Amino acid sequence: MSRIQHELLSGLIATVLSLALLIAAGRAEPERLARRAAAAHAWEIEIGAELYADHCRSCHGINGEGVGQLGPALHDDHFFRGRLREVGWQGTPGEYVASTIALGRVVATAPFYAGDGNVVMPAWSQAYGGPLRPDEIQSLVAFVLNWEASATGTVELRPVPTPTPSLEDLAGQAVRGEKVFLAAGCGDCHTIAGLSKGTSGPDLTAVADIAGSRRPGMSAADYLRESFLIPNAYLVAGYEEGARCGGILSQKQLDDLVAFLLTRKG
Amino acid sequence: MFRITHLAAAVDARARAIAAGLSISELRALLRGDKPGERPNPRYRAHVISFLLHIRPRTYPLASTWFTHTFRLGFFTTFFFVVEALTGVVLMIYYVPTPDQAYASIIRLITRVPFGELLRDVHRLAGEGMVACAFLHMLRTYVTASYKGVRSFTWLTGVALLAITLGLAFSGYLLPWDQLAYWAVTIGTSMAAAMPWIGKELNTLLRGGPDIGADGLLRFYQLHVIALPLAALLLLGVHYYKVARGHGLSLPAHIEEGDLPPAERAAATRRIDFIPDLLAHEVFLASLGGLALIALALFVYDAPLERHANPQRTPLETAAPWFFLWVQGLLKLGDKAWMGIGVPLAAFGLLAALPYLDRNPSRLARRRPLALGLGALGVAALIVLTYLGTPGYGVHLPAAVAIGQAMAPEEGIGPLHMVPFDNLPLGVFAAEGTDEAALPASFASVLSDLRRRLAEADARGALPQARGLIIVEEWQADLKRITLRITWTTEPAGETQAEARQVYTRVFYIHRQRSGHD
Repeated sequence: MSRIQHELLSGLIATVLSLALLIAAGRAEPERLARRAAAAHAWEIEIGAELYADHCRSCHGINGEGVGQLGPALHDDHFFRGRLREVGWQGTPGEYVASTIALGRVVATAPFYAGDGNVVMPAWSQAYGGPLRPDEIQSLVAFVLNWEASATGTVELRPVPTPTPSLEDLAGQAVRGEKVFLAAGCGDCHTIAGLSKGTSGPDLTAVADIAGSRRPGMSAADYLRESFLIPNAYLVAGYEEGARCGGILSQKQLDDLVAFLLTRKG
Repeated sequence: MFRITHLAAAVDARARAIAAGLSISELRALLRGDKPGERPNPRYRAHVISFLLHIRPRTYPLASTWFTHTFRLGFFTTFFFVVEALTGVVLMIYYVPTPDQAYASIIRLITRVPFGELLRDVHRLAGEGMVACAFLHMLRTYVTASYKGVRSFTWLTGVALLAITLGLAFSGYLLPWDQLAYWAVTIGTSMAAAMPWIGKELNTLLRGGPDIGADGLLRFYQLHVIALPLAALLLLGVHYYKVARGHGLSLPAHIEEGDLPPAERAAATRRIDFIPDLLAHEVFLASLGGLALIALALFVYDAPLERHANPQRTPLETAAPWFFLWVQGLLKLGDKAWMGIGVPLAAFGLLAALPYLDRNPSRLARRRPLALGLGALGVAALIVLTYLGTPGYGVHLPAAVAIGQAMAPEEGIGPLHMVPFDNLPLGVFAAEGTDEAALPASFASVLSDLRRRLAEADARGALPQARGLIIVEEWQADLKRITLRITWTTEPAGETQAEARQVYTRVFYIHRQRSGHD
């Protein structure tokens, strides 16, 4: 064979090989695209987790469990199963979360979250004066929606195995709740005999006896919780609209506080 | 009978119209490597009839096509340019040049478009190949002294083409709008700002404002897809026409001016036809180049993509693209105006002026020791500067941050991402004193890697009494939170200060679909 024929033949072989590679790649392409899309989504979730820790956790809780009156729980069965119907949202859950983050909560919707007294949920999108870019909002959406499996009970998240002290009883909770009561300044408005002398709010010395009968169908614990979160939901006769119990109580602190109040019997 | 010959004549006429005057039997003769069957040689006439062929010489002196003389570098630079144009046109369909959309459009290309990732990898790979080949082509031309005399102007257009090639590569660098792109270009354009007199204006012109934003991206996009390719095409035409028609192809120096036996000279300067000898060779090279690009892009090379550009967050390590590392090296040696602008401009000025400075008429290596010595010095300087420009040199992260960066880099995949997701055990694991036998091997090796790094930093005094900790928590379905914590003791700073325990913490997240990969 002449050199020309050698080269043309080698060129032909290289071209056929290229085409074979392309065909093989093409056959694997749907699977590769799916893998790439999954990885890209996973990356969004990872980035969303970082953004959530930076921007969202102070109001919605480190694990999306909600923080007292500040922000509702997101890692929550109701959020995934009932929330869209509750607010009459027509679009997808992703669009609901995205628009809520971008625009903020312009009008409060039931159940009412008071916020910290200044704003309800602020607008986070750069388009509306917030700090987040569109891609960051999408990452946050991916992260928040990824709670669905554990919130609705499909997946059980295991706690980190750590040497924990033995579980405390209600009495232990009540002891901590008393500290919360004092530290959070509840006593400035409420009297508990022997503990505080506030007068602008109802006397709580024997609140455990009456809490269960204030609101029909509501347990004492739920009533106390509601009274803290939404002070004006039920006003005891003779008292003005109270101050918002501003500041942040974590869910755990609130639980402790309620446990403490439930020990206050006449 | 009449009808059949009539048909044959019609087919032949059509074939000749398409194949630049070559009949079917002539084409077959070409492929067989036979001599032309008609007179006058229809293969030469093809150079007159066809636009694409008319810029190619009909014949080449044999020695000018020797592999050791050209290494086919000019050919491959052009080949890569064509690949860039073809892939670039397709990529333009999917790319959106706005800060809000650019990054998402790249993600879409990779995750939704069949062959999209291949296209992007080939485009990036061929772009880097073009930079490398253009530079090596110039180096070869310098070594064989093919820039002298009548070839001076050709050299000048070549220097301009190298500058355009670098401009194309650099402007393309910004387009994905990721951290890598954003900060490399921010640093690159900040040098323009150091230019005396016109620095501020030039910087504003390039960036479209004080910082790179929507306007800057659009400018770089426009440069990348229109202005620079057009300039490259124009100059490439001038460059090639000069080589092919203007002054003759350069032969190896010892044949052009050496003392050769006449027979040997005659053999070396024997003219070979472009069609089919060189055309077959170019078809062969292009097929090989195409195969190499596709295979590399499929199996070896992945075009990098970091996180979305974030002007508020400077990466721990910013690196210029490899072909500009030498400038970054220069910047570490001096100030921006002199080292970042002065020296590179002077270098390009020297290159452009080379044929006019080098008055030595000889091309023979042994008669130009000074030129070759200076050339070697220049290449050595480039290599040293490139090394100085790498992020590892001269810039030292604090020891704990460096360990954090090694275990869990800001960008890309770190050792903990490589542990299969289910082998990341939940719990709190100290680098020292954890029972590694009870852990999955892949995770245990990361833990011992951390221990080794801490011990090394401790021994060198960077992190006295260093301790490390990895906490793995199940955060969401298929998502784990990793906390890497390093503590160490600092020396008391003054008499009043007690020694203090310092803490470095890095928290990051690993999703199942991004773990276990390499």
